[in-house]
Amino acid sequence: MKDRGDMKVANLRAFPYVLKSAFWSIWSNLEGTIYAVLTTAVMLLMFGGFLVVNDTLERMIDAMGRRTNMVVYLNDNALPSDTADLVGELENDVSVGEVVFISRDDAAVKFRNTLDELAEILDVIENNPFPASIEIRMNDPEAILVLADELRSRTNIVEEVLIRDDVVSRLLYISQLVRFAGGVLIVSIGLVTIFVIQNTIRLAVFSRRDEIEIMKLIGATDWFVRGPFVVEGAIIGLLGSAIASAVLIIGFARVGPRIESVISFLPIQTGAAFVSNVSVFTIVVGVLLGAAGSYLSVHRHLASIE
Amino acid sequence: MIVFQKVVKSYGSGVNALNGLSIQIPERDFVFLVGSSGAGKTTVIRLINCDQRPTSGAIFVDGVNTGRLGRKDIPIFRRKIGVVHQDFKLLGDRTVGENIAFALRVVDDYGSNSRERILGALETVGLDSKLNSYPEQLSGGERQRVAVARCLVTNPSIVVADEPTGNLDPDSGRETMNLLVRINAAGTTVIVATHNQALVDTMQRRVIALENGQVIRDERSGGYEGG
Repeated sequence: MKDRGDMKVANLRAFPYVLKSAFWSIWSNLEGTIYAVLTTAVMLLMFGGFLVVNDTLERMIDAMGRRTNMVVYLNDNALPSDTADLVGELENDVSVGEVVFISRDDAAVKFRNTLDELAEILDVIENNPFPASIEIRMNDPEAILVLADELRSRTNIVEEVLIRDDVVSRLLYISQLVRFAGGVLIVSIGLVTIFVIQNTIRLAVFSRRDEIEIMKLIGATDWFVRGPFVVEGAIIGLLGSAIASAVLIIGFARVGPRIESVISFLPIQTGAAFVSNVSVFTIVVGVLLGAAGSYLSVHRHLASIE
Repeated sequence: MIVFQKVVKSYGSGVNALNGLSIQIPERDFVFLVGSSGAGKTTVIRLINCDQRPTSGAIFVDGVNTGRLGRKDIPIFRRKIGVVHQDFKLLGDRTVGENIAFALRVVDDYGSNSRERILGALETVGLDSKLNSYPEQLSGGERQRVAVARCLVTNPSIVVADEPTGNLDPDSGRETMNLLVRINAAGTTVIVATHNQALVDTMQRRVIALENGQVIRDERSGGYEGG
């Protein structure tokens, strides 16, 4: 009896036959195939469109997050060495983008420069009333609340931490909402695409049920039986995703520059590299969904005749 | 060698198709399985081909305990067994030659000498002139001979036939049976499940008679009814 290694070689040898059978099956069920390809194209166009929207939203959130400052006011009696350690620690934190230490004197100078008409007040006050502070700009806006809590706990150095909690919370909420909606959308699109391809392949399986029965009786492996159908599903996915990608590329070329000029405040990417990345990803997803849908369809049939 | 050891096959309806069946079929043997409908003939054929698994008991085919074969091992196991069906099971949209080539592709044995092998199998069954005909252009007897040729081209060591003459007229039935005898004479074990009393009586081969899933008669050389 042949071992598994021989079987893998046999599967490779059978590939031309598998490919030929897949094309023959597509040809003999052309109407169903066209329907499946177009439905897949619409689904994957939504998928590609979502990738663009998601990317834009992520960029907006990121850009807004980067503008969000946190100001850490230090105790007047904080030791200079502790302050230096804290600044070093923050500079090494990957979630932090920029750290600016403002000494008490610098704060006073800043006050004088910013509010010129109130500068005289400082002349009548004997001691410098401004605390030293650290201004922080975040790399990762999601980490700001955790970092603020951690800094507040260091009461020996930190007097107060100021952040715009409401803005941060809203940003995080929007970010989570976008991810959740995106996840739901992607899963839904995936399921619908698999369902459509699965049904198309089911028809192909049904029309070739006698052939499958004979194959199994003669001694065909499951992969030999599945192969043509999985390839057929992958081809449907490939054609559908290619149409979706073509629409995306043409759409970007035509509409992209207009969007950029009309709503320039939105960080929409219209560069060729981004569009081709989205297209390639959409095609890969299309092929995988097509193959998965067919695999499930044939698997179910094989299980029913076993 | 095919060995059934106290094989029980139940389909879940409460009635056992086989009830502790024990038989031995040596290599190169020619055996008729006879009995009324529901006696268990087809079940025996399907169990030999691993198309079904026994509920209990053990089946050995050429030393392999088929009950222990994994799902992935079954296709390879089946390649040593040729199956002939009452309804021929030919692909109507392919020529005779393509039907036989299909078997070679399925068992991963399609190569440069395939055309010669296909013609050789067709010569054996006397249909080498029908290479490019479609099944619908053939008579019932010819279709069955193509099915036998498809079974032979992969060189099985065992051929099982389930009512191979069931859809044939007496002459075609006789031709098919003579073909199976010739295949047996060439060294292949042949097991034929049949209702065809005339042919069984004429051929005087080993007869295993089944009733209610049990052997009621096993004669080295006998007829349909025994005695």
